[in-house]
Parts: sequence; C-alpha cells; structure tokens
Amino acid sequence: MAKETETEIDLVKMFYDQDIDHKSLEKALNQRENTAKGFTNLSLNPYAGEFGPNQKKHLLNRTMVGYCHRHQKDLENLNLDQSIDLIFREDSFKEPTNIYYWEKNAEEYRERYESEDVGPNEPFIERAYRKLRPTFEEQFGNERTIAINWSIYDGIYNQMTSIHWKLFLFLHNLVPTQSFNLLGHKGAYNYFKLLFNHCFASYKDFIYNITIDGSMLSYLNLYLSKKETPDENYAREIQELFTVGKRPFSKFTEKDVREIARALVGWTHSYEEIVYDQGSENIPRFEEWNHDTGDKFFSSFYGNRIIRGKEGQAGAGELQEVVDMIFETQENSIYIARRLYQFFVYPALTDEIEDKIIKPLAKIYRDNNYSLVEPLKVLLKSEHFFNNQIENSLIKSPIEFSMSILKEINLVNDGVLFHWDGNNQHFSLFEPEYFGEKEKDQSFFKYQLTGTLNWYYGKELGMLISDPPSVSGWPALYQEPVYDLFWINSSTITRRVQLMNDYLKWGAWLDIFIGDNGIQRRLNLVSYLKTFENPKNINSFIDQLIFRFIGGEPSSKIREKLNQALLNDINESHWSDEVSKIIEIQSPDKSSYSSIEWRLGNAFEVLGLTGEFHLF
Amino acid sequence: MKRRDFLHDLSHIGVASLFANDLVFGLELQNNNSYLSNTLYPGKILVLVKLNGGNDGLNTVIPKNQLSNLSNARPHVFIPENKIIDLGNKDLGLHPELTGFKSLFDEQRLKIIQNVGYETPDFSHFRSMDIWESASDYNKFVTSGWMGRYIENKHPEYPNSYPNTQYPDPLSVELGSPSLLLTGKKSFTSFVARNPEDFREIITDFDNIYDTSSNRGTKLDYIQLVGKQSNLYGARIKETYDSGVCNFDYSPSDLGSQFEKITKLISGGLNTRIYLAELGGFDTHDTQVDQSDHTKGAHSTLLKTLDNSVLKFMQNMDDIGRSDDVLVMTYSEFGRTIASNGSLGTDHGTAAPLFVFGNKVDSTILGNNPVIPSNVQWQDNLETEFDFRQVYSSIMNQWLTVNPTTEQDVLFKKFDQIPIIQAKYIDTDGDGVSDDRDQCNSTPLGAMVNTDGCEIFSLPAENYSIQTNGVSCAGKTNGQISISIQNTEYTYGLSIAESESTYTLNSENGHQLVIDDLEIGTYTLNFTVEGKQGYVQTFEIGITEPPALSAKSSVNQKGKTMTLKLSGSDLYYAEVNGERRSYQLDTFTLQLRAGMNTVRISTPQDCQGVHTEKVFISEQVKHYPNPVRSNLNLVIPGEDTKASIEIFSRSGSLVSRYEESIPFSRVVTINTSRLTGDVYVVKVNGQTVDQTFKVIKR
Repeated sequence: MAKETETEIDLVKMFYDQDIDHKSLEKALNQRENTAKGFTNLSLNPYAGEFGPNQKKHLLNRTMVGYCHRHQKDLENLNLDQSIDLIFREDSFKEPTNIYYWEKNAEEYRERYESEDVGPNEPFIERAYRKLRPTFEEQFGNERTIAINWSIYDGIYNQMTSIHWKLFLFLHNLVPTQSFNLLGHKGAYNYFKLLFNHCFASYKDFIYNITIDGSMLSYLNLYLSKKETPDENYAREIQELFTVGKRPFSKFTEKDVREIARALVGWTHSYEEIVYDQGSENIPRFEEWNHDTGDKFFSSFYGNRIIRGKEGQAGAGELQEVVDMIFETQENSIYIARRLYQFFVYPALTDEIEDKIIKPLAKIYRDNNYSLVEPLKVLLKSEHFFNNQIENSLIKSPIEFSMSILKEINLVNDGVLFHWDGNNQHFSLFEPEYFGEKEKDQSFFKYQLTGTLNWYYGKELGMLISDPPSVSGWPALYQEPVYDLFWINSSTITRRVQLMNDYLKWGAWLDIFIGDNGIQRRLNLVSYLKTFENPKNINSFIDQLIFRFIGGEPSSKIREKLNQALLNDINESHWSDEVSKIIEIQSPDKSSYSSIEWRLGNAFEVLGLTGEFHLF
Repeated sequence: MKRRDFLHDLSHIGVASLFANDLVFGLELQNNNSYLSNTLYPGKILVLVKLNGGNDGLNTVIPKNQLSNLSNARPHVFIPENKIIDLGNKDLGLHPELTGFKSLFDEQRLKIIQNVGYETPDFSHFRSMDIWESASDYNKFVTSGWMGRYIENKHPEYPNSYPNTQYPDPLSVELGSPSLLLTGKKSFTSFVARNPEDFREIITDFDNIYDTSSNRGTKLDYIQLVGKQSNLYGARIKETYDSGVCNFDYSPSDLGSQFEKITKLISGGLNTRIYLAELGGFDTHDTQVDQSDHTKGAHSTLLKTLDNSVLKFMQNMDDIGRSDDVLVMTYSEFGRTIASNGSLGTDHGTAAPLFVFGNKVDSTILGNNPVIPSNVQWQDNLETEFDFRQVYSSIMNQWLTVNPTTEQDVLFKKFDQIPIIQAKYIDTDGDGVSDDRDQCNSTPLGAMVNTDGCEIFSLPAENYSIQTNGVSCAGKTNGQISISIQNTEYTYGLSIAESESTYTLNSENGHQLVIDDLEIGTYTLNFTVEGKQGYVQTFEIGITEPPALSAKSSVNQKGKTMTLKLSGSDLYYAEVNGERRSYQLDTFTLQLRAGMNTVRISTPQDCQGVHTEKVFISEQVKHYPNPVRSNLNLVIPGEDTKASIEIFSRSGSLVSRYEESIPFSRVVTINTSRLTGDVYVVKVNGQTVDQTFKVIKR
C-alpha cells in the first residue's frame, strides 16, 4: 500500500524468496489501484475553481446524512470558506421523548416508572424504574427503544447544515456496539451521547472514554475479564479496529494484545445503577482486587514500552498509559486519516493517495491533538475533493438513501393525510375534520416511521443504526475491494425500490384504517412546490427535480420520461395553470392538487428507477 | 461439443431455413446443462455452513483419551464424561446435543476431519474468517473468496449476460448477507435469497450503457446489472421455492429456516449448485456453558440448532431422492483456547474439527486426537494437522469438477488431497459421471458425454455453411444449394433423402459442393463423418420461389402506432382502415386509432402476396394502488361507456368478473377485499380497451 509501510515490500520479497505465487500476490496488491479510477488533483491545496450548485451539492452529499434542497439553500450565498465554516458547527442531539403513548397509556407508565406520569412527548429516559427487577420486555421493550431510535432519526432528519451527524455515523461505524442488547436503553443512550459529544473532540479522549463506556465494556467483554485469565477481546479490537489497524500495516503482536488485556483488567460497570436508577450517567468502576498488578511489557511496535503494574485505584491509571502509548505510534494517525478519507471521500486507496493525501492529513490530526474535524476541514476544501471522479461516485448507504428521501419531501414535519374511501379521495389539507386525532398526531407518525425504518427497512436494506453486523461495522464501509457495492444486492435493490415507492409515490402507510382502506401520509404538495423556483415552467421544474434526486448528469431518456410522466396528455400551459391553482391562490384547488400530485408521484418513480438515484 | 456452445450458436446461424435436428444427440435439449458438468446427470450440490465466531472444537468433538487433562485445562466449561456421546471409534466423543451427527455417523454419512487450521494462526475474527473464505496464506491479503473464484473459473464471462438459457438459475445462493466467500474477483457470484417467498418484480428499464472507465459509470453499470439479475433470478427463486416441498420440519431457528429454504429450492428444481447458510454466536468468551450444568448454555444451544438443521436436511434430501447429490461442509474461523476463562467461556484459539456430510463421504475419522498438555498455559493452543485448503482442494477434486486452471485460480497452488469422498464415487475425468458409472473414464475435459460418461462426437452446427438460391420463378428447376465445411480434418458424407443422392466432401473438392438443378421443395441433408459412427447432423433446407413479401410489424400500444419492416420490393402500398398510401421505404410507421384496425400491405406485383394484419389498439388503463389492500382503481381513458373486468389468479383461473359502466370521471373501482394476498392478473376489456396487468394484493 503506502511506501511508508515497508511491510509491504517485505511481503513481496518474502513471497519471491519462497517462490510461491508471486503473480497473484502482486495482482491482489494491485487490485486496490484498479478499483479507484483516474483520481487526479492529488493535492490538499485549497480548491479555487467554480463553487456553484454542483460543487455545493457534492460537499453536502459527503457531509450531510442525506442530501436535500434545504441544505443547498443554506449554502446559496456562501463561498467555499464560508460553507466550510457553516458545516463545521456543532449540532444537537435532542433528549428522547415519549412518542409511544398511543400504544401504552398513562396507567401502564405509572406502573413502570417512578414518577407520577409519563405524558406525551415528555422526556423519560432518565427516570428510574419503579420495580427493582423489570422484566426483559420492560428493560428492552418498545417505548424507550423507539424513543432513542427516533431521537437519532430526528437528529438526522432535522440536522442543521452541519457535519455533526455524519461524524456520528463515522464513529458509530468505526467504534460500534450493538447498543440495545447490552445495557438496556440507558446503556444505548449513553453510548450514542458519547459518540455525539466526541465528534468535535480529540479522538484520543474518545477512545479513553469509550473503553470504559458501559455498552462497550459489555460488548467486548472487558467487564467480565478476570485477572487470572484476562479476556483479550477488547485488547485486540482497540488496536486492530479502533486505533492502529490490521496487520501487516501495523505490527502489534499477540503479546501486545495479552499485555493490554492485563493492563485493562479490573474495569467494569455498575449494571444495576445504569439500567434501573434515576439519571443516565455512565458509571464505570475499577475493581482493584481484579487488577493484574504485574508489569506489562510491549513489543518494538510500541517501542518496547513497559507499563508498570500499579496497586489499588492507581491501577485504573494504566488505561491512560495504554491510550497514550497507542496514540504515540505513527500508525494511529495514518490509520485514522485513512478511515476518514475512506468514509468521506472514496474507499479505495492507492499508493499515491496514501502518500499525498493520507500522510499530510495524518500530520494535521496529530498536530491538532487527534482532532477529527481539523484534517477534515482541509480535506473537504481541497482540490482533490472537488475532483469529478469523486463526485457522485459512491452508493448511498441505506440511512443516507432513506433519509434523503424523507428530508427532501419533508414528510415528518409537513405531511398531508390521504384516504381513498372507495369513491373519493380525501386529503387532510382540504378536509381536516375527516381524519382522527391519532393519525393527525405527528408523534404517532414518528413512532410508526421509526418502526418501519428499524425493523423493516433497517434489516432489509442492510443497515440498522445501533445494530452493526459486527465490531468491524458495516462491510460496505470497510471491506475491500467491494466496499459500497455491498449495499446493493438482489435483495436490497428490490427493497430500495419499494421504499422509494412507499414514500414518494403512495405515501407512508399508517397502521390505521377507515373502512377497508388504510390512511397514508403523503408529502404536502403546496409547500413542496413552493420550494421550487418557478415550478410552473415544466422544463425548469424537471431540471430542478433531476438536480435534487440524481447524482450527476442523467441519461437523456430520463428527462423525456419525466416530461411524459408530468404532462401525461396535458400541455405545458395546462401544467402552468394547474400548478398556479395550487400555489397561487388562497385555498388550493382540490382537483388540480390531486392531478398534479398523481403526476409527481409518477415522476418520482421514473427518478427512483434509475441507477443514478442510488449515487451520491 | 458443449451443449452451451451449441445453443449459443443457434442464434448465429446464417441460413434462414436451417434448423439443427436435436435427435442427433439423443438428448433432450430442454434439460438445462448441468452447471458442474456437461451431462444429463442432475448435478452435485455443495452446501456450506458458516459457524461465525469461532466454534469451540474441544467441546464439539471431544478427545476421550484426554479427559483428565481437559478437565484440568478447562474446568469452567468441561463436559462430564458420562454425558459425552461415544462414537465408538478412536476414543472420540461428541457433545451431548449432537445426536443427529451421531446417527449420521452410524449411517456412514458423516466425515470428521480433526485439527483443521493453518500455519501461524491469526486470532482476529475478521482476519481469520477472511483467511478461511479467501483461502489465502496467513500473511497474504486476498480480496475475493475461494468459492467466488471457483465460480468465475467455471464461468469466465459472469456476470455479463447471466442469467441465460443455459444457466437460468443463480450460480450460488446465499441465505444470509453477502459474504467474502462468494465474492469473486469481478463481482458477487451469488444471489442473496433472504426472502424467496416475497419476490416482487421491480419494473426497470435499466438498459443504459455506462462509461465504466469512471467510478460513477462502474457503479451505475453494477446497479443496473443487479437490477436485471434481481428480476430474472428472483422470479426463478420464487417459482422453485413455491413449488418446493419440505416434509421434515426443521426446529425453529434462523439456521433451520435457512435450510428449509434450501430444501424447497432444491426440491422445487432450482439448478443452483452452491449454497451458503450461516449460524452466528460461536464467539463464546463468556457464559459458553451454564455454571450448574456444562451440557447446557449458549454453545449447547448452537450445536443443537446445527445438529437439527443438518439431520433434517439429509432426511429431506432422502425424501426427494437427492441425498446422493448433496454434500454439506461446516467451517468456522478458528477453534477456541484449550484453557477456559473465568467468565465460563473460552477465547480465540486455533485448529478445530471440520464436518462433511453426504451419502458419498468416506466416513473414516481423519486425523489424530488433539493432545492436551497436562499443565496447560493460558496461551496454549492446538496444533494444526490439516491445512483448511487441503479440504477445499479435496472437495473441488473429489466432489466438484476441476479443469487444468482451477486449482491455480482458486487456491493459488497445489495442496495434498485428503480422502473426503469414497474412491468409487470420485469423478476422475470431471465429466460429471462418477467413476463407478463412468464407462469411459478419460474423457477429455469439456467434452460432451452421455450418461455412461462416454464422449458424444459432435461438431458445432456452424461447421456447415449452407446457402441456397431459389428457383427464378415458380415451375423452373434451377434451384441451388452450396455447401462449405469449416473443419477440414474429416471426410464427410452427405445424403439427400428427397433426391436419393449421396455426395462426399473431402480435401479433393476442398470440402465444398454445389448441387444444381433443384426444384422447389424441402431437402433433408444428412451429414456423416467417416470413422465417427453414430454421428449425424441433419439440416432441412427449403428451395423456394422468389422472396415473397415479408413484413415484420411492431405495435406501440401507447403511441397508437405500428412500425413496419418490409422486404421483397422497392415500393409498398399500405392501407390503414381503408385509407391507402404508398411508401418507397423499407421501414415506416403508421398511425392507428383506438379499437380495431385493419392494415393491409401489398406490392405492385400481385404474385408477391399481401400482408394483412388486424390490430387492436387499446386505451391505456392506469391502475392504483399497487399493492392493493381493498379498492383497486382503474382509470380508463377514451370514450367507451362499458368495460368488463376479469381477475385471474396466479394459476390462471378466473376469480371474479365485473361488467362496469364507466363514469364521467373515467375511474372504475373494484373492491378486491375478498381476495387473499397474492399476485393477480387483471384484464380490462371494452370496445377500445384490452389491457392486462398484474396487481399485488396485500
């Protein structure tokens, strides 16, 4: 890979010496280069070219979780420097609230939690459980899981034009836990907060804190480690996955794994306090009786470092020494720079990229106290980043795919209920009284949406936040040489089309029926059309649709098909008339609304069946 | 000749009236070519079972001669002697949950290979699983899987132009998420069939050509290909799954449900030869066993699931008569430490036993019992006796088939084979007919064989180039057939039944022949090859009058047009519903109206004939929603006032029929609430409407 990692040259030499299969070795090594095509501008110098809507979209694609028009609007009058400043602002992670009240009444909440009541949309994560031993369902069951999951979806959905939530995903993939299965809701919540709060902080501090985070202590068994037989699980992954990477690029030894296991034995968490008690603090404990007080000896990779064994609570300090030792290696900065590049720019690396991009980024990371954002600011402003081989060259992850759709049509904050009663169409926009309180309640929709995104689409599309497939994260984000192609297979492509159809064409199904037919929540066409410039002009409308939904220039047929879908037997001036009857008069005309809504649904379907729809 | 070449070539034959007689082969053409062979033999199946997390081999196959050392080394997880299932062989026992394995062992359908691993073991799950799945050396990073490379070696063109008529089915099927194992050098070689029962056709017109020299083009090309394959493979998966049976129920578990799917796919006739199932949870660092009863706990539950799944699978295969054709192999990234840890678990270890199941396995236990040191240290690990790639190589050579490049492509070098399949079942010449049935056991690779394993001599149909000149006019006898043969190493005989004449084509006449003075009629040409008994290649050739008017039409229902491609003349008359125009073009488009249209094409020469066509142009019915829960709305444009609507089930039977008048809104609503959830075909008929479409009922 990089020339800096001499290992590689050794490897080749080794294979030549042993005279085994050097051809395929070379092939394997070269393969990486073949998967990244024609990257030019291998320079981190500030980009000085045009910074128009296309470049802004590219920047937003790679820094937002799901592009949508409101982010573009935020950059409308900004230059590149100003845009970067805007994007590197911290966002917020709202406290999860009760959105499950249509399923569980106040009485039931009173039985469960030590409080008078848990009202609609009230925060309730920090409340203690009333009973000392809640059942499994009570610990892990619905209302808190949904609340926490929604607070993440909500954060992404309503994200400011800020890189914060994308960094959250970066950390969740790089240092994952299968949060909910470990320490109940609070454990999961603590873990997510920890990730969120460290996005703009030192990665080194993050690693220190995540090591003794309750869900991580559980996930990789550190809390069970015994000094006679220390558990190696965390000791291995902290090196291999979280800080210095896999051999042969990084040469920590099996002995290093064992010695770190010895240095960290004794850390555990207060399960009962975290799970049952008031508050949501992560409460690690260091049990001195279970610590290995002998000296720990490390390999030459760590400069033959010795960490002296310490008695009593001082033993807890060995964690800081371990972290210090790991972060002093060059490999740590190279590894993190590499992971940042792969996540934000392109996953396939070449020797040249290692040399001209990764190494300088690694230096910025080190020089800025292991900051993730400082190297990113340079990278995302660079000539290299605005390379048209990079633009629209990645396949959206499922969360980016689904969120960009929901955000674009603003289905959560501004939906319209729809019902077909067998003879007539009913829209809540025209007949608010036709619909009941439950279906009108936004929180009810949030709860339903969370369920669908998690347990249907999350699983079926291959990415459920809070449940990465392994401690390595999602294969599409690390497994070479396939990388993002992993998101697309015969099963997921079908589900992607289904999701697109659900939200863009038919509307999200609410699990509520009037008569035989269910109620759907659809986009609000009035406000949606108003987000376009001059939607009355069909050609301009089509241009804007394509720009919003498609990565890069589409094949020419798409424009033609969109025209067909939208006009569908009416002419351009009729289109203008219909649109103006929706957006230019006090109360929109229902028949125009229904007619244009149907056409727009068909147009979305045209866009959703293109390959470009999946790229960003 | 390989059948796939033959079929492939059919589409390229240049002589219009030629067809190859499939009787030549004595084989049924519709029988899909076996993927691993070229015979009628239905083909062997390999099912791989991945045990994720590192299975504790020492608690799975237990060396009974080491019990006292074992109990010292792993006091936290040790299984008491009286609970171990005795194999009565080599002092080996099985975990108490493996009763199914025991019975398969007694039936000589289980092969145990001890101490399988690799040199310089890696203790990382991911790295070690990568090594197992990529079949790489410990210090080499290979980014494709051995099974993916195996499939690519067999199908060098994949994924382009797959599926096709020879290989309509996925080359491999995964029941979990896509793995490195089936990742080839170019693409995934597997179809992920997580929900075979729930296939939905995605309507795409992905038919674009992308610039694959760019990253973006590469991605688009890939997405388009997966979209297409997903439609085609998905339909096959659903079709076979729906018609498949599973008479021996699996106990409820994720692995059980994966095996149930495999069972149904195989019994439903899916011609896929490689399956991958997956069971996770073997990373038992803690609470591997219950403290009070070491025969219970997480590991025991996993083994019970595995045991049940394999046993029921073999019973199901017995049930449908395919158990001779299946081989099941387990693998895991590593075993676990000899010593147990204080959390009632074990840590990442090294070598472990591997299981192979099948009617044809050589069921001798292979390898020595692992040796447990009397004073075990925490970091002590088991020695590797067999490299895992010896198992791969043996399975490829003894069960699958190989060609001269396979081993190099797949495993990068040669490994010593170990006996996995009984010698008499091995198929040495790789023709798909095992040695015990193979009467010609040295068939050249790639040769087409019959069920006795003997080569069928054949030549590609395109070997014969045949051209005809028709008679100049009806009644004349100046027709001509010209023949030229490509492969000149043989002497060919030719007999024409109709004229009772025979000819020879050899180097003397340059393998060329012209037969003159023929009258109008059909001639049957039978080619034979000297010294190749039984070989006949038959063509039927027609000597005809001057070309008749020929017309190909295609109708665009949406645009209400008909496009004609004509030949036979320079000038054509086209009459649409009585209105006549003339065209000096070969190709032109006519405007039609909704309802019935009559199109009549003629030329100035009456003898060239007339082409008449009646075309019904339907108004385009739109329907929503789809899937439908209850009310299905049909938007029927045009001016018809009535329409009949028929709903047919998947099997084609009429479910309901409505006569509806079409209101001014042109929306007709049909209540489908009494239909059960399935796919239905809806037919709408009227004076100017004739439309059929599918709806999904939820």
